[in-house]
Formats: sequence, structure tokens, C-alpha cells
Amino acid sequence: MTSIGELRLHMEPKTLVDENRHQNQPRRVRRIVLSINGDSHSIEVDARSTLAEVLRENLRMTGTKLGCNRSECGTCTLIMDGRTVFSCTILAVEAEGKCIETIEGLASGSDLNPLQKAFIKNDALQCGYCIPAMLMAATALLRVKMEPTEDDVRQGIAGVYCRCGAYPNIVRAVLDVSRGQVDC
Amino acid sequence: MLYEIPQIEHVNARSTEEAIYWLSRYGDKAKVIAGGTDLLSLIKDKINGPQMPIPEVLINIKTIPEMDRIDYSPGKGLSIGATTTLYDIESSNEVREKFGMLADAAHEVATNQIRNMGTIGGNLVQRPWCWYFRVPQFNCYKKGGPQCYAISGSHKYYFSMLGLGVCVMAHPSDTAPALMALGAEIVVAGESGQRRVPIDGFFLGPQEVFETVLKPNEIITEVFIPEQPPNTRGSFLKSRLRGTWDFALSSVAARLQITNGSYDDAKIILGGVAPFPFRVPLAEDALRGKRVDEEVISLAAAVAVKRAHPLAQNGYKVPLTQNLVKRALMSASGLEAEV
Repeated sequence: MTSIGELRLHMEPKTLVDENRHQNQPRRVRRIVLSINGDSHSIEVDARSTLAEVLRENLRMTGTKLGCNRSECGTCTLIMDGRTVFSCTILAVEAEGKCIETIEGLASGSDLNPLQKAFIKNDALQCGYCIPAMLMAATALLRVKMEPTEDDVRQGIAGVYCRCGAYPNIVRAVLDVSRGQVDC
Repeated sequence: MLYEIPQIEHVNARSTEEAIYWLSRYGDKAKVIAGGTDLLSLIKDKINGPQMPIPEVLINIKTIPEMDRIDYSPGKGLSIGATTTLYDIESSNEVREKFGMLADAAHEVATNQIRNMGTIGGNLVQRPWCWYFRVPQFNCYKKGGPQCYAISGSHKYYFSMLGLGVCVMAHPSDTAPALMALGAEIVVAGESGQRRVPIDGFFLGPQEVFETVLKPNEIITEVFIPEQPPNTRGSFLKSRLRGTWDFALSSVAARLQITNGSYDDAKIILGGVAPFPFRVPLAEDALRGKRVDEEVISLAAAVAVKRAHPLAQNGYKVPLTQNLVKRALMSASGLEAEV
């Protein structure tokens, strides 16, 4: 008896019967180009690697942290195509062609950006592990809401857990920047 | 920490046809991936059972261009591609203006990051968020195992209060009750072409292992919502344990049609309290033909929870849901509820 799967082998969809046919096969390893903070990185990745793993292990950009690795704690938050996402739950092969922004892209050289300065000025961190994610979430928020209310800020960083409970100072730092109360 | 996901093969599908081809070819070894927020967590935790093999091939459908879109045609309705993110839905002006209840429901899902990743199709087919299902040690009914562990275990939060069958999960989707209230259709593609499934017939009961009628080699391609009559008003409310983000303890989607101060029609769907989005026709009947009035609404809210049969630890869901129904009906009727 012929199974449905075998039958389909003889009637492959049009998209497979083109010159790319052999390129588009399920693969375990793939060479991809990632655009990170404006730079292109061509790397060979395992299909099972998450974006966070590739950033930290392959590219040695360890600013992005991993906490729960289950899209719950938010520590791996970065910006992809202008929106915050959990990099622990995105396969690196699926991040190809996206514009990825990480904490490493905020400062220029040793010059911190106003948001980073505001975090220091407001003592907005204790252990600091969630801070890269907080900064990325706040960056994404400030791009769409230049003058956020306290509630907007709390909503904006809601997906990131701070186990130290530094929230009041983090919220104050973000509000400070939006009000231009940081010396740059 | 490296490689929590077991070895997989990955392919980017470029058309619906191609996705179905790969699904059929690899059978139950393959899974479709869109937002991945549910699937990758299950794979990382190696959740498996007789009816739930760990996938070895992932077919990415985010690369199918026509699946990520929101098209509104006046007079006909709204067509949403299956991989449209929840953020795109909540922030679409057309959805907000014409189908506000769906925008509210999409906004209530999880957190910014998840809404930026998670898709409408994935929100409908997500697996149970039951803590026995989500650990590998329990071979529970929903994995093809012999029994439900939550009934005699801990079931205070994300579980059913309607005692309908073997498994006591509560369906976690927020968009499903809203879509059901709006009379949506789910467009499903498979080997033999497309079929349109009215959402009332999309979800299965707790006696089934899988939550939806979707067959293993079928995928959702589109969610269609018909144009609503001009006198339609709606409301979606959700109650949750944690303010920032959480699954529903209880949610209510209410869609009312009001003419000259009385209800022409009503549709009330409960979420988070049953293994599928639960329609309460008797509560709808309690409104139909009646004047818009707080007493009528209170009665309908009481009728809505009449069938409740809570478990040992979740009896609180009955008054919670009753009040939520009342608040949703008051809000959709344009009345102020007394706090």
C-alpha cells in the first residue's frame, strides 16, 4: 500500500520544483547572515540554536543574558525589527534578515547613552542581571512613546523580571530620560 | 546551558503547499513553527508521551508571505493571516474600530515580547498550560497517557470549573472566546485542500487528546471574522492572578446587539474556566428580547455559571466568573457597574 506521504513525493508543490529545490531542504546546520547592531555576521549555526545562544556562544556578545531560557523571566530581551522579543525562544536560523539590536549597540565606545547614564544616576540596579533587558525594553518603549507616563513605563518593562526589586529606580530612570533630566 | 533543544532539522516553507508537503512527508516527526513561544518551551522541557513525540523537524511558516496580513473588506469582514502577530492585531486600527473585542483580547495576552512573537494561529492551537502537562514526569491524558493528574492534585488556578470530562485543563487562549463571540471561521489547509471550520466546531472536548479538530498534517492559514451588524457592541474582560502578565483565571467575551434599548441578540463566551471556550446559551436567552437593565444583566450573569461544577480548590472561580460576566455585559451595554 502506498502511503499518502509517498504519493506526495511525485506531486511536489511548485515552490519545490524550481532551481532552489535542493537548497530548500530540512537541515541541521545552516550558514546564515545575522544583522546585529548594524554589522553583518556570517556564521554557521546549528538549527536548534536559539538567537540568545548564538549571540553569547558563537559571537561572544554576552551582554544579552539568559535566565530561565523559557520565555518567562525576560532577561534575554532584545530588539528585533524594532520590537522587543525573547531571544531565548527564537531560533537563530529564523532571525536571518531581521534587524537585531542588543545592549552592545547602545553605547558608542565608552560613551554611554542617556538611558544608560540615567540608570547609573538613579541607582537603578542591584545585581544588574536584568539590566540589559530593562534597557532594551525601555529603548523600544521610548521610541514609540517619547513622553511616557509612569504606567506606560511599567507596562513597557513588564516582561522583564527584576528579582532584586529595583523597579522604582528603573521606572524613575526611564522617566528621567524622557523628561530630558540627564546630562549627556 | 547550550543546546537545550535536542537535535532538529529546520526548513523555511515558502508556500502553504510546501509546508503541508513537508508535514505529510515527515508525519508525526514534524511540527510547524510560527511564533514558537509554546512549541520551543515544550521541546526544551522534552515534554513527550504516547501521543506526543518530540519533534525532529521544524517547518517554519513565518516565511510564507501571504500568512502575515490583516485585510478588511467593508461589508464582508476581516481576514487575518495565521502568522499575524498578536501585537499587529491589537495595534491595527481596523481591528480596534470594527472588532474592538478582539483587539482587547489580543492585548490581554502575556507580555509585549510574547505578543511581538506569538501569532493568532498559535494562540488558538497552544497546548494546555497545566503544570502536570508541562513537566515530563507526568504521562498525563493530554500526552496520550492514562489519566489526569490535576483532579486529585493541585488545580487552583488554570483549571476547569465545569467538570466536563477526563482532563480538567482550562483552555488558555484569550483570543478564542473573542473570536467565538464574533462568529469567526478558521480556514484550515491540508492534503486535500482548504476547509473552513466555524469556530464553534473548532475546539474539541476534554475526552479528546487534542484540543482542536486540526489533523496532524493540517495547518491554520487564516482566521476570518464576518462583518458585524451596525448595532453590535462588545466587551472582553480577563481576570488573572498576576497583574503584569498571566493566563486567565476567567475571561468573558460578550457580543450584544441592542436596538431601541433592548437586546436583539447576545453571545456570551467564557474563557479560562473550561477545556474549550465555553458558550453559555441559557445566559444569552436570558438577555434576548429584554430591556437593557442592570437586573436583567445580573440574572443573565447568574445563569451563566449555573452549570458550574468546580473542583475542590477552584470554587472561587464561580463568583469570579459571575461578576466578570456582569461587568462585561454592563460595559457592552453602556451601563456603569456599581463598584
